Amino acid sequence: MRDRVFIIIAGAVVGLLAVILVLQGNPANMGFCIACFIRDISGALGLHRAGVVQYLRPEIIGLVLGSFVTALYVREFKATGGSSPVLRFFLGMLMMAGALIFLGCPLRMVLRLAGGDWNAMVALPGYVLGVWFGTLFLRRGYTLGRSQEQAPVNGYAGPFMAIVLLILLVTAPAFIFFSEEGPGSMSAPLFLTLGAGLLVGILAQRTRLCTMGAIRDLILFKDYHLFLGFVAIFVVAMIGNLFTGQFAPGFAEQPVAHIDHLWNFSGMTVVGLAAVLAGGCPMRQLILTGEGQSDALITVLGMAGGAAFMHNFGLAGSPAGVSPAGQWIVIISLVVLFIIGAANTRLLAAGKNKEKAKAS
Amino acid sequence: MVSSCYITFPTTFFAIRAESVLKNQPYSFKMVPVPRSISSSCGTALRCSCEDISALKNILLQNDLELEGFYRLEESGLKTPVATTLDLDH
Repeated sequence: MRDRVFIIIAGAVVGLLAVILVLQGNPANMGFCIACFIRDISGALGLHRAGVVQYLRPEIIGLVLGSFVTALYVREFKATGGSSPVLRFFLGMLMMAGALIFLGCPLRMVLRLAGGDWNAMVALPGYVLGVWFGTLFLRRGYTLGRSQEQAPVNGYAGPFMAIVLLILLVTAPAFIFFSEEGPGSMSAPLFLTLGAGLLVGILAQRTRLCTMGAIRDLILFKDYHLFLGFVAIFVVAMIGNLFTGQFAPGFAEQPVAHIDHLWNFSGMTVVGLAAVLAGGCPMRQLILTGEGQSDALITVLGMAGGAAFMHNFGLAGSPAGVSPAGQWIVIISLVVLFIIGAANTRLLAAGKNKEKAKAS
Repeated sequence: MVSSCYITFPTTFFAIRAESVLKNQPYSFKMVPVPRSISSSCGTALRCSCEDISALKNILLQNDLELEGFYRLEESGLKTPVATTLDLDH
């Protein structure tokens, strides 16, 4: 009962803060977008040179530090890692690739839906399909292997990087890129964005809010606990948008969006499948990074690398749509994800062993 | 005050196996996310009545399942649930 109340409150706060952040300057329907914000950070550090999406987003810094401080306080901080780090890096890259085709992480998909962007309605079933593919692997024994306890310094790496980013943001040295136009130039004031990140970091650490877990648990066990948080984000953001005049229903000319339905759908299928295989949606990866899980940090770094890859090679979606090369990336991503899924699935491996035993 | 018992697993795979192993057994149980007061990680647990937990544990072990831990959780309304680790000679 208590857990249910908390997850609904956490979801509601995320929805409300998202509306406030947009009112105060964030790009439309982008109060929170973990993929977009990591992409912006990647650009600010010069890893890609898409001039309109470069900014050291304080929300990301806040999410990691909020989770870190809370985990320390409740003694849940634990440095762990070593569970297939290279594959996790790739899963992060692919998760970002799918998100940059659709133009948003699962959280932004919910926020776009709440803002009346019906393209997100096309993407949602794609996301659910991706998570469903993921559960097929889970049912057959997919695992990236157990993580091991590590020296504490491994766990501090993520929060340390967040603090370095914060220092770079405040001091704004010449080698950091800040967009002068486009979404990267739009942001609510620092105290709001950082504060919102910290608050959501605290709440998400306490409740395990996860947009992938919400769908996965429904499919696997008909358990709707995390789904309540997912619904709360949507309901509160939608009410907030209606009250503040930010609700603009339709497909065409939505902010930072395109109307290529097939690629909106399949881009989010990539994100859903990658999130199940990586054990959490982009936001959850940041929270786990704050809790000391270096496996999650690797996934986040993979996302930053993925953003650079997508923008440097002109693969990311844009309001004009998805380029042919971007379309190929979706197909290649799905193939790679199925290979990673199958290669780490016990029953498939066990079947092969049986065949070998029979043959001998 | 409501009390129920939980079995946790090292990976989701074993949780799903446990569900299929126990499906035809005369015990009532439900697969749920690991309660927040037991762990901050997002695994899946088996919730059952505390009278049945030993029997369920034995069935699962006989079927070569890997189990992680056993817990009793006391819940009362909006108060913080209290989790205690059970020692079942595992």
